[in-house]
Order: sequence, then C-alpha cells, then structure tokens
Amino acid sequence: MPDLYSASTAKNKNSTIKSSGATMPLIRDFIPPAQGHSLSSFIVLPNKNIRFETQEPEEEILLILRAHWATNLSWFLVALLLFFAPALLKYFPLLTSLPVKFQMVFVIVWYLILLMYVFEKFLSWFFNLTIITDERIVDVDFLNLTTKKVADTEIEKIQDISFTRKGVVETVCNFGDILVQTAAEKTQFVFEKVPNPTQVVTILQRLRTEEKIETLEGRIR
Amino acid sequence: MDQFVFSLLNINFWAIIKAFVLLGFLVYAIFAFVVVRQVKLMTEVVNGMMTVALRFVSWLFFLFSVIVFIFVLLFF
Repeated sequence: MPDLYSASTAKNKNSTIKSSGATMPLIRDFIPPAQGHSLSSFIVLPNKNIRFETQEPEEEILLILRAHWATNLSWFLVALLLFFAPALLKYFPLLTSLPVKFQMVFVIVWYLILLMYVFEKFLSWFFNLTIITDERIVDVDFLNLTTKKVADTEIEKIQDISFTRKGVVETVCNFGDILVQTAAEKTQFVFEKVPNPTQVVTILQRLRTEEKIETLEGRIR
Repeated sequence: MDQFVFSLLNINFWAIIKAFVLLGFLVYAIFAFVVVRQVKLMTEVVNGMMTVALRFVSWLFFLFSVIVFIFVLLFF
C-alpha cells in the first residue's frame, strides 16, 4: 500500500527531527537556494553568523526580509536634490545679506541636516526586518532613532496569510505588503513592501502545514 | 530705566545668533550620540549583519559632529 503521507522525509536538509527516538534529516524543498547578503531585501538561509537576540540554539533562520530597495528611491532622490541645492545660491544670492562666516555656517548646517536625514533613512530601512525561522516569525521595527519594537509569534499560531501588491512600481518590481493574522498576543503582523510576496506566502503556508503535522504526530525537533 | 534700554540696544545681534547656532550644534552632537547608542542596541537585536561597519560609521558620525561643534566654537 502506498504511503499516504511522508512529510518527515521531505523537510529541510539542514535540520533534524526526532521521531520515536530516531533522528532523521529534514528537507524543505519549498525554500529556495541560499541567496542575498547583508544589504539584500530577500535573504534566504543566511550564514550562521547572523543571529537575533532571542534566537534559540537550535532555531534556524530561513528568511530575512526587509522593504524592497526601490522603496529607498524617493528619499534618495530628495537627498540628491538637497545635496546640490546650495549650489543654487550662486544664482539666487539669498544669503548675501549675512556675514561671510554665517554663510559658511549655513552651508555646514545644511549638510549636517542632510547627513542625519540620509543616515536615519538608511538605518530605518536596514533595521526594519522580518525574520522567519523554522519555529516563528520575528518582526523588528525601527520606528525612528529613539524607538524600536520587536514582536514574535510561533508559526503554528498563524491563522491567515494574505498579501497586497498595488500600483505600477510594486507590480513591476514585484514587492508588496504581507498581512499575517495570528492567535498570539499581537494579532497582526505586516511585512511592508517585501520582495517576492507570493513566494514568502507560500513558504509561510508550507511552514505552517509542517508545524501542524509535527503537532499531530507529536514530534519534537 | 534708560540704562536698561540702552544696554538692550547695545546687545550684539550676531552674538545672539552665534549662541543659538552653537546650541544647535550641541543638540546635534547629543543626537549623534543617541544614534550611536541606538545602532549599538539594534546591532545587538540582529547580530552579524554589517555590525562592525555600522558601529564604525555611527561613531564616525558622532566624532564628526563633535569636531564641527568645536570648530564653530573656536573659529566662528
């Protein structure tokens, strides 16, 4: 008689599960090959050096997501315009009524503010992360320079996953918002402007199924 | 009363502006230090992603703001 279910042999090759005392390798064929670097928006199976604060010793990071690089274009263009704006003072001598020293200070202040703006925007993009492990989802929000927020939920508590891709830019660049509803304390997780939303949703659904099967079979990792 | 009005009229307008500018630079330097702390905390939340580079840049940013403050204080 053919096997009706054989998920225990079709899981991630990097992990192991224990079933009735025997240890067997896990193979997750729905996870794409390792890709991405520290500045990528879509990092699959990052190297082992990358860890997060509350990570368990055996917990494995499968995906790290942040907003698509195209979302940075708007502030980058603004910064570029602001960078060249003082050059216009040559044609519009607005500061000529000020002493020379004050004119110089004005330019210094201008570039310091610009530097702060660029650095804050970069940090905000860089540290707004969603980490998907084999056990849970961790949402790291860097709201501004003085506020951070970290929330997580177990994958088995996920109830509903949906995504929205709207507008020309999101369609062309293939990114969108993913909404995950859970039965945990924080009931909603929104991954904003993440690349390949379809693939991410598929991975989450497969992980959820995997966790449900593990629970039903009473397996432990 | 006349003396008070006279002393008020004698205040150098540019000296007041300079004091405000210096205050602004000081606030900026404090803010840059907050950035250093925040970067340190964030790199502890997620470790291994450009940790050294980001901490280095944040310290560089803070040192730069302090140098600018001292420069303005001495030569402005």
